[in-house]
Amino acid sequence: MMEYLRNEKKHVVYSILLGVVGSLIGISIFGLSGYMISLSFFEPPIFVILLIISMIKLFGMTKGGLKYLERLLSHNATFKLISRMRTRYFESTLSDDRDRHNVRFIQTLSRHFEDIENYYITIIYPYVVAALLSIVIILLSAILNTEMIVISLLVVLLMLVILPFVFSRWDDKIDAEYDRLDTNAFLKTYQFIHGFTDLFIDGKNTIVQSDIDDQLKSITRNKNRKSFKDSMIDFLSGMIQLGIITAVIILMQDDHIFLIPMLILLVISFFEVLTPVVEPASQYFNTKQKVEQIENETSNIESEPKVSGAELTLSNVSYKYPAGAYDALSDVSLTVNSGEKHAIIGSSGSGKTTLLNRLIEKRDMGVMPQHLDFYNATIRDNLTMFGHFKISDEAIKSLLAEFGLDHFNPDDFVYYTGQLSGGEQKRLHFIRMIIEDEDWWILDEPSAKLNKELQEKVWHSILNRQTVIVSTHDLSYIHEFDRIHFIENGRIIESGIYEDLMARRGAVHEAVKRFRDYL
Amino acid sequence: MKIEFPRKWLTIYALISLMMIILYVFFGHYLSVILSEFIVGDQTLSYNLLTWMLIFFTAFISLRAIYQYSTAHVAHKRMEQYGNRLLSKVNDTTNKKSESFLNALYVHLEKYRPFEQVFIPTIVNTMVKLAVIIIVLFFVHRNAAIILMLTAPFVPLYYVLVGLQTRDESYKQASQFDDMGTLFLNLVRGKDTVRYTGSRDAVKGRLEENNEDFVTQTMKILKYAFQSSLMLEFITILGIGLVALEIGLQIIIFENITFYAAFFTLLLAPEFYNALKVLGVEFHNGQLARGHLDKVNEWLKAPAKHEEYRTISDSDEYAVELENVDIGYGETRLAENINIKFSPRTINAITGPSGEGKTTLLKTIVGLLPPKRGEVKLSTLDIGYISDELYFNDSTLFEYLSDGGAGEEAVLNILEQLKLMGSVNKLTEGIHTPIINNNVPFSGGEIVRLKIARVLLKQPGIIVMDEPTEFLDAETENIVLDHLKALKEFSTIIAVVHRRRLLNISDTHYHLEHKKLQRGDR
Repeated sequence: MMEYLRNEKKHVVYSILLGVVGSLIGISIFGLSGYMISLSFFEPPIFVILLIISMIKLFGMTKGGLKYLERLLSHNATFKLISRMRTRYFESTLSDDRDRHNVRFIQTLSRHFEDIENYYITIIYPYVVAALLSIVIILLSAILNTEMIVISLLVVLLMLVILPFVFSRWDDKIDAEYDRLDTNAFLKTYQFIHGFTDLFIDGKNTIVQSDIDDQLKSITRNKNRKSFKDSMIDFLSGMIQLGIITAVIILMQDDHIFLIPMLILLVISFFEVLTPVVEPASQYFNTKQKVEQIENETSNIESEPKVSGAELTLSNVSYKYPAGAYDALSDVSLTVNSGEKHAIIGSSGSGKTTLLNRLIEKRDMGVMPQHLDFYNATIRDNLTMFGHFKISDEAIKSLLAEFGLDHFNPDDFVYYTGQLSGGEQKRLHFIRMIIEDEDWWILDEPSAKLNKELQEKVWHSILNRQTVIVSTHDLSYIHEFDRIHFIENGRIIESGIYEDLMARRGAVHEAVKRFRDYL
Repeated sequence: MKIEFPRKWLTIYALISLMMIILYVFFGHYLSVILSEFIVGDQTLSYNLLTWMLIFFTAFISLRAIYQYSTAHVAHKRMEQYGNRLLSKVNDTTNKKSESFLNALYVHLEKYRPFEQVFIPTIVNTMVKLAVIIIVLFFVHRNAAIILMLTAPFVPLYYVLVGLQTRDESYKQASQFDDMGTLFLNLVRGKDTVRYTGSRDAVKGRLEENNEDFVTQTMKILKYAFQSSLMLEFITILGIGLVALEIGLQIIIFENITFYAAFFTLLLAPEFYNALKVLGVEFHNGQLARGHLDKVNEWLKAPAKHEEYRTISDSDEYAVELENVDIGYGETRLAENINIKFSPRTINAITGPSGEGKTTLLKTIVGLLPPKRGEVKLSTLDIGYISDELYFNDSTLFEYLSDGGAGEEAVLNILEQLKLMGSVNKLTEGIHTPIINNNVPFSGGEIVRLKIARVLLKQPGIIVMDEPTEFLDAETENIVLDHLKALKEFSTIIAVVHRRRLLNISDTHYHLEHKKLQRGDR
């Protein structure tokens, strides 16, 4: 918030001021028209009436204009703030090790950024405007009598402090429950989709489906509770409004009869500003917490320097995933020297990818990770990482053609989800690595999802490199590697050169034999 | 884009709204009478009238709260039904587009919710309100009613023009989310590659550009919305001003209007314009929501699930029989005229190049994919399935393996037999460890063994197996070979096979290539 004020200070101050003046004018319009009718019946000079009416019109025009400017300024300021937070958030993710490929994480992140938008646009601004306006109203009521001051103070206290505070407890509870229910339903749905074949053959798909249906029902119940809360707020605001109208009639009937119509129209108009604020204000603490969470996450921006020596060593490394039940790697040692080609083999789930990730951390290399990343941008931007690598369009086109991707143009726009097939992703990433042109390459399953011809092409490019580390199931070229490591249950159980390992008739020999058994 | 909101509800909404506005009119009536007594009457407060005013206003706000709650209730129920319908569209191919499905159910449906929760009830309520106020004013003060009627049409007209422009924009925004369109979310997801390629500065530059574009684009859409509010404000003030002017002139020059009529008119006229204003704001929100409904409807368009097409054969001669069967998806036929008969308690291997329909054939046998032609007869629908894929959520290993049948001892026995106890013992609570979100890294080989353990316990009459294309660890492969023979004791096994070792122990061998399934030569 502090930085926000520093950066968009002027816009914020202007928009709040505009908001207050606009609302004040809006309320005056009503007041004036009320005053006018009271006055009219006591035969004032006609020009007074005309004056009041023209003032009403003038005020109205001004109010509209002010409100327009206010909303433009406040939205603009908020969006700029969000933009800056996005950039900082992105930078901070670069220096953490968390895997961000999860759909749920992305959905939640997007939702949190919407919360930030709401925080400023529907909570902070309207509330500040309503609060400042209330101060003006209280000061104005001092002109009349002390009863009016007390009444307006009481109303403001009820509407802007007590109601929001009381309902914020309730709101927190409902919202926390919603998060829980929604996450559960999401996980269950995820399982339903990804385990569908198993569930169907087992005859369990309908059970799981009705399970999720039940969870959707719970979400509906939660939503109903929220709607009930909103209706209660609406009802109570209405009752308070009724209370003040009655109070005005009863208290003013002796001294200020003449002002009653004006006051009543003023009250109705004042409540039009107050009522919409109560419900968002009740979400203040809850939303604030979420906003702070995002702000905290963006606080650690640092870049780690990587070495680019002639040797890469892991010694006695063990690794456990944060949520994992046991070590994914235990006591692994490995040295890669410049100019060597290493292959890491083993069955799926044995720890190959984990080992690769530990190696990637240690040195600057061309990397083909397990999850290939593409962005909503042109092919050119995707291949050059938004212009980070310099290469001509002609060169891009010839690389695309070489890998059977001539149906793409550098200018074509790609979307991450669904549009690219697994094989296309592999090849595009491979081209990205060729453009990057690092001396060292490290690749996770480079030949998977490709046809025979492309597999050969990819293996040739890889084996032409100076230094490579590859994890693979495809053992067709295993004899071309200088060193082969067999990993099982997070341990390297065999390491050496091809001929020795084959002579030893151990795990690698067995794997090669079984690979050749493939039909 | 189609919104099927039941007419029944619209009628009920309109009736409640009518009641609600009539109550408000009565409140206004009594308030005006009270004030009229004050200003031009005998200047005393009638508590009788005051009570009526209180009653009507309380009734009005109560009904308003009830309306708000009950319309939301209807909307929430309908969202739930949309969710149920979406879920019924899940099949064995949904996992390929799982992200799009999950977004439809958990993002787009949620963003569509306000359309039915707020937009529709507000529109109905506002329409009724506008009509009632005009009618009442015709009786209270006709000239005002005429002024309202003349100024009002400008508002919807303006909104329709603006709304047409915002519709396309909002649709674009909705579809962008589905493709993870905001580059920001996209980059956060793909931050690893940014880090590996050291392209942080270039990417940050692009993100900043993109952010600026986003602000400009959003502000452009908002400008339409704000401009329309501004226009509305002008029209409103023009209207109220005209009404006030007319009343002022009536009072002073013609002296033919009562205080009651003057105040009542000035109370109702702003309500009228407020209603119009609400209509405007909601119109914009409504347009945004419809883009999201389209994303939901894309999934709902999918054809309904097929009925059970397999029959239980009465002869004991064959466990699985396919007669003149054609298999394939949509228009494409992967294999034609398949005629096979698998004898009970045999191992039957199917080989062939990838993409020729081996897995599709298995799907047809297990009931996932109706054949394009022909008959599928099975001795039993109790089928076991072995593959190297398994997704766990919210259950324990014990629950999965026993499936309500076998006891703890039997489960542990089998796990021991399949050499899985080492992995199981690493779990905090052994076989009773709750597994949430597949958070246990079993290797592909271990999953195959778990699945074998399960069929050993459950002993289904037919077992379908999709041999992993990736090589398994030596231990698993030996276990698979050993146990397939054990499974043969009680079951008919149909296996898609990639390796010679497995082929060697099979009783029959079929080869699927060029749309033909033929006896193989091993």
